[in-house]
Amino acid sequence: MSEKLVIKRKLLVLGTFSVGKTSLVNRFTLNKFSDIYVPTIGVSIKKKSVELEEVIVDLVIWDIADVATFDIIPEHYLSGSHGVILVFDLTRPETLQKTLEGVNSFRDKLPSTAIIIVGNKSDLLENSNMETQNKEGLMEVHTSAKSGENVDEMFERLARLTIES
Amino acid sequence: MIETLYPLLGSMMKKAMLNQVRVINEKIERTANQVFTLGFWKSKFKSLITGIDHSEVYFQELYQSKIEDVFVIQKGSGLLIAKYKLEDTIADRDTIAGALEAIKGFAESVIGKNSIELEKIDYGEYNILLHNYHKFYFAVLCSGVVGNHFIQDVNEKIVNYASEYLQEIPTQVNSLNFKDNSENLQKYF
Ligand SMILES: Nc1nc2c(ncn2[C@@H]2O[C@H](COP(=O)(O)OP(=O)(O)O)[C@@H](O)[C@H]2O)c(=O)[nH]1
Ligand SMILES: [Mg+2]
Repeated sequence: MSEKLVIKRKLLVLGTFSVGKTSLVNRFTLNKFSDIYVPTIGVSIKKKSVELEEVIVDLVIWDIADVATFDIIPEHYLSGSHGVILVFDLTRPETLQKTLEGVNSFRDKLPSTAIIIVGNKSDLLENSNMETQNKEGLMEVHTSAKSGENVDEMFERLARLTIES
Repeated sequence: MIETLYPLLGSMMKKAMLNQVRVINEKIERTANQVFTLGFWKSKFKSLITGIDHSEVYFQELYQSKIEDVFVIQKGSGLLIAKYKLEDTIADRDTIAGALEAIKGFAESVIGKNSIELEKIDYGEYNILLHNYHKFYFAVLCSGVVGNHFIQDVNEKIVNYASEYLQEIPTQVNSLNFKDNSENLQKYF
């Protein structure tokens, strides 16, 4: 990691209760860099760098406690986010529904933000294709925070999207 | 890891910047009036010379205030634009900057966005002074007891730095041209 340009990106992880947001971020950042949890606000800030062909991207990831998500996403969480990860639980289809409603509630406010939909807990499905284009035109990726399958790839993909947009 | 280094990061933030300082100030004033120590008279003398409020001199000498670090943080994203110390000796500063932004945003949304911007965060044994500009703000991490005079001093440094470099402070951390401004910052603090 030498001469490459380093750029910074803020990522926000959203999704309903217990879909695996924290597990995904932990899997990705495990043993890497630092972690600050701010209990009064219920937000955890983590960082990890991703090296792409042209640049190094320092990802600062905001993982929000469930109480604050979706129904009332504070404006200041959204503002300045370069990428949003919308997580749902593949074994609970209703969580996808909620997620899609969530997207529509703030998509207008963030025209230049890269958004990726993540179906998590793929290890619990018999067979899951790891990627689809969903009907909203958003990219949908399937992961397992438990086995680690597709987790790094998903973050890398989003990192790339944030520098393209 | 960082939780043990910065144990009270999440502690409640105080809207009124000077209230706490004043309370301690008064306590010291009271104690000082009762205890006629040599230190007390020394600081009294110094206060006569410098014109700084006596109790402030006294307690600043008791609890030497010091700038530990300076962050320049982009509003909204919480991304770090520049920092005073080049290496991460205490903790990762990108993460700290994010946490500060989260606290600031939270406090301001509770207080009411447009009315006021947070000027100080209590942070365990540290005080963090915030100095707001349009697209970014300075967060100055201070140890010791932070008095009025010290705050003025910090603000002066910030204004001096900003008057020289305001145009160069990159407000677009998200642009590919982002250039860290830390070296310039170091000349002023
Ligand atoms: N089988 C399986 N369980 C998972 C996976 N990710 C998270 N979990 C479990 O789901 C629960 C909620 O996870 P958590 O990360 O706290 O969800 P959050 O509320 O969205 O942050 C925990 O019991 C996790 O162990 C996964 O990929 N596979
Ligand atoms: Mg969680």
